[in-house]
Amino acid sequence: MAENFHSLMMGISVSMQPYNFMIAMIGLVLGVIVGVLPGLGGANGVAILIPLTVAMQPISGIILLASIYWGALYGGSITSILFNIPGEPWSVATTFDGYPMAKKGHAGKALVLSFFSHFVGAVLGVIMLSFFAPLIAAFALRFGPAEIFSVMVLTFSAFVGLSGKDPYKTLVSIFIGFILAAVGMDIVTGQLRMTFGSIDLMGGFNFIVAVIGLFGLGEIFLTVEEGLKLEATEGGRVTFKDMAWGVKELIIEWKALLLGCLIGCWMGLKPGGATPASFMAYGFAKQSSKKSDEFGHGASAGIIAPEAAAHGAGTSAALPMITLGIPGSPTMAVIMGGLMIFGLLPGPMLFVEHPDFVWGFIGSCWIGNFIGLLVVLAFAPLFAAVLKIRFAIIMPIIVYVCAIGAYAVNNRVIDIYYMIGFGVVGYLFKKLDYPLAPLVLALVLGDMAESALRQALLISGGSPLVLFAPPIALPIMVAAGLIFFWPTVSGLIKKARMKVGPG
Amino acid sequence: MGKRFSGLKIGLVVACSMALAFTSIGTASAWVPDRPVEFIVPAGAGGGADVMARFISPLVSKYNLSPKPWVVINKSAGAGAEGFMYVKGQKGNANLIIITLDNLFTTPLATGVPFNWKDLTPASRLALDYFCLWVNKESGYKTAAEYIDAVKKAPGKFVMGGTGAKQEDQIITVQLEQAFGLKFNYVPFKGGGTVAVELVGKHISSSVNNPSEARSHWKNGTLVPLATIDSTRINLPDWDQIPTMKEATGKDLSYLMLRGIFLAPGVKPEVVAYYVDTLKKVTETPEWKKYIADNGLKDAYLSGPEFVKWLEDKEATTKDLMAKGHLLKK
Amino acid sequence: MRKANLGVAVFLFLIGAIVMYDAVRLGWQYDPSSGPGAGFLPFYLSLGVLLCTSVFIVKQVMQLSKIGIVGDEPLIQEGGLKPILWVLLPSTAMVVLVSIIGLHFAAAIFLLFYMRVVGKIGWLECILVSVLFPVGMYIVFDRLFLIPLPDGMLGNYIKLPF
Repeated sequence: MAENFHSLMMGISVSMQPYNFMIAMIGLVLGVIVGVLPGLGGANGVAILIPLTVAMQPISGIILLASIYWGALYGGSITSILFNIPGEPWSVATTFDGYPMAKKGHAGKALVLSFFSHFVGAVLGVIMLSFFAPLIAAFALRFGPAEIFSVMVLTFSAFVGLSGKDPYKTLVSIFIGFILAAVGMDIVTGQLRMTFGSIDLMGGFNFIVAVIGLFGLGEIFLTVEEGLKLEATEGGRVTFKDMAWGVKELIIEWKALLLGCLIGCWMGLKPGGATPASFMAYGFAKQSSKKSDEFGHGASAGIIAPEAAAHGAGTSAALPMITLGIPGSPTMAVIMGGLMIFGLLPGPMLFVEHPDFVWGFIGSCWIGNFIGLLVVLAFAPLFAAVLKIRFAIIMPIIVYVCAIGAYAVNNRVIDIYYMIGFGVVGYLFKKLDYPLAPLVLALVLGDMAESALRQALLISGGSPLVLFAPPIALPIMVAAGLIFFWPTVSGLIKKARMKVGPG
Repeated sequence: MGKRFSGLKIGLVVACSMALAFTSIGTASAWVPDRPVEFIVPAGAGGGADVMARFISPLVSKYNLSPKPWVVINKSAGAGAEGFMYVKGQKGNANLIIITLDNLFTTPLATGVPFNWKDLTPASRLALDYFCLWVNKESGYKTAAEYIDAVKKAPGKFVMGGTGAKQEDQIITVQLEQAFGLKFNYVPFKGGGTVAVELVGKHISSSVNNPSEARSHWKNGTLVPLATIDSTRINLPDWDQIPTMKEATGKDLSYLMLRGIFLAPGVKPEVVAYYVDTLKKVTETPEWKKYIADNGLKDAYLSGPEFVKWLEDKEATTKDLMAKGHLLKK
Repeated sequence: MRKANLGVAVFLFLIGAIVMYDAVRLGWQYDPSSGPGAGFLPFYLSLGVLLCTSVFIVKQVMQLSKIGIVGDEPLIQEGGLKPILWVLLPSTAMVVLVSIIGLHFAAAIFLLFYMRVVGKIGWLECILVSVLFPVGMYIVFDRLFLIPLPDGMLGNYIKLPF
């Protein structure tokens, strides 16, 4: 531990050198920009700058690439809050309460709250990265297909139990989400499913394209129908008062914050963990909150939990790359390519062979997140001011930027058509009370959950008992079951108490 | 409206032909990319082909081998079919290249997607990738013969993890099964890096990872290579310690994977010449040499008719192996 | 609202039927030695969709035949359809134009059209926004981030100097 601390100080001092510091600033600003634009993510930002880094010292190069990543993480939630359009998969859960809060005229507050929660989540992630990396890597190794499947089940049960008004419609939503996820190639058998010979369908339905349509365009249709122009109320400002309020809210909702951080850091260890983490944190926060009716209408905890989880997971996604050599996210995959250009091979030997480099990287995580917070807070008034622009101007621009985003995800024109189609579906579903959240959750987790399930069953030779194998899968499954039935159980308990109690 | 547009169009045509006229004075007659080159990767981000593409494109910028950047784009859907079909459809597009692995052969054979490598223009073979038989060190198996014997005694009980279904890892598994008369329980995963980690976590019993995917775990002392699946040893320091399949078990097995570059169909000869020449220069850089050594690849640059001949042979072998393993699309 | 509910349910029912057709082709059985096949989950998912939607359709039809559509709220509130179409149709037109004249030109036309015809915004502002914004997007995406956006059939003619 003491040794780690010493190395960390060395790493931080390297990243504080004026040149590296300047590089980090540039990277952060660029990262925020790519994060804000939907469809463009850290992966794009990193990819274009890799050629530039070839001429740099490896440590400066990695600081630049990592800073873009931190910036993009911060930027992702901005459009979720302002326009109901998630910039990244893991900011979908932020739309549930962030957008309603902004709609009420508190866009500035929502932004500040999301940035602060991000920051806290990230700090916890970086602490883990700095001091417990090898320990955590060993723990992550114990997650095989069966354990991953149990985590998926837990995510679902934390989230789905609560959303439906009409159970038929909730079920149909989930089924449709899973079906959309299944379109394309089946990893386990290599067969093409539901493509009917079409090359376009082979690519399946991308999650980001679907949410841009379902949430973003769907919301635009709802807005114009009501004849509302996105009002420019006090949302146009971000004041110091808002910041003070944000800090206060974080303290009041400390439970949601802690929940988000823990879930985030834990889930980030496995590839693709940030998105399920944000959903799971939202679900848990809602279930454990006394004010659960406020969720969905702009509850602070509904922003804090998923944001802290997403950023915590985003930070700990660096861990599997450094310690195991598997990228935790697409951006990390591109950064890994960058490492190879410097002649560094990611994997368990990186810590041993190039400690200066690894600690420089970790040091830049600390610096990057501190400066990142300042950068986004400085930008926040600018973002919030976008809401002041007249609707007839901003609306077509949003549609345009969404079209770019939908295209850029996979470089496919067909995705822009899908986006419009999903927009219409989003409008209809919203009007007819089909819940959208379970659909997108099924869409994003469907693939992962199905292949984990089938891999587990293949390994066990078809025995479903493997899904409940101790010591990891079993408790998670039990927890999932408890959480799923908790609303029913607690309802019964309340009823029983009412009967018995003085009343 | 229509008139104004055609006016604009003509204006643009004139403007660019003038621009072209100016640029062509300086560079003689050789063709060079005139727009950013789309560098298609028919595989997901983070895999071997993707990393190689992302390694090559900055090298091209660093050594000024192209006036326009090479932009890596992943089109991985349908085990790469999306990427292949895309390039096939871009007839005559000179600013487009695709890096391929063995899914060039296996994907159409396994899925029936209407595509064959002859639909593209072959440029060059950059390298070949080895496969090794890996087990977890704690499993206690010291040699390939020991492990094979154990598998023979318990058919279907040993789990072989691999990348994807009906692709190279499964083909090799079938090769092993048929050569030694045994039965693995083959479980497909999404990528080679994941397979290696599953093996480190002991969720599977063995893998046939490429050297680069498991190297770090080997150095770290968690995984051991039992044999190289080729007729000769890997000619690199450390790697040459691993016995070949023949040395370890007596049976000669070999499978090497293509890392090559193809162009769109119907491109002009001077375009092919440019890419062949540029890629040759890439493979001569010190960075490339280090990359090859670090990743345990076989430096095997090849282009022109020899490359085409090699492709034809490779396709025939692949088809034969897949037919034997019942992996062809029915 | 009830008619729309019925319509959407029938639509989802059809999706379920298509998926089930393909799931049967893929093999939906549970193989005791290797677990579910490729069509296993799609089969049960589509079965779920078919069951849920048919229950729903029956309920809706009964309700409709009993009380009719009298007193039902319309799906789209009065005067709401026009503004929705004003967004939906031009944006669809834009997407169709993408494959012909490229994304940025299509978007410029879309921006100009919506701001001027629907938003009734002054000409100067309209033209400024619909020219400058696509140019900015072109610089950011095509130039800085090297994401070549679709240029339709104009592709080979556009070679801007920056």
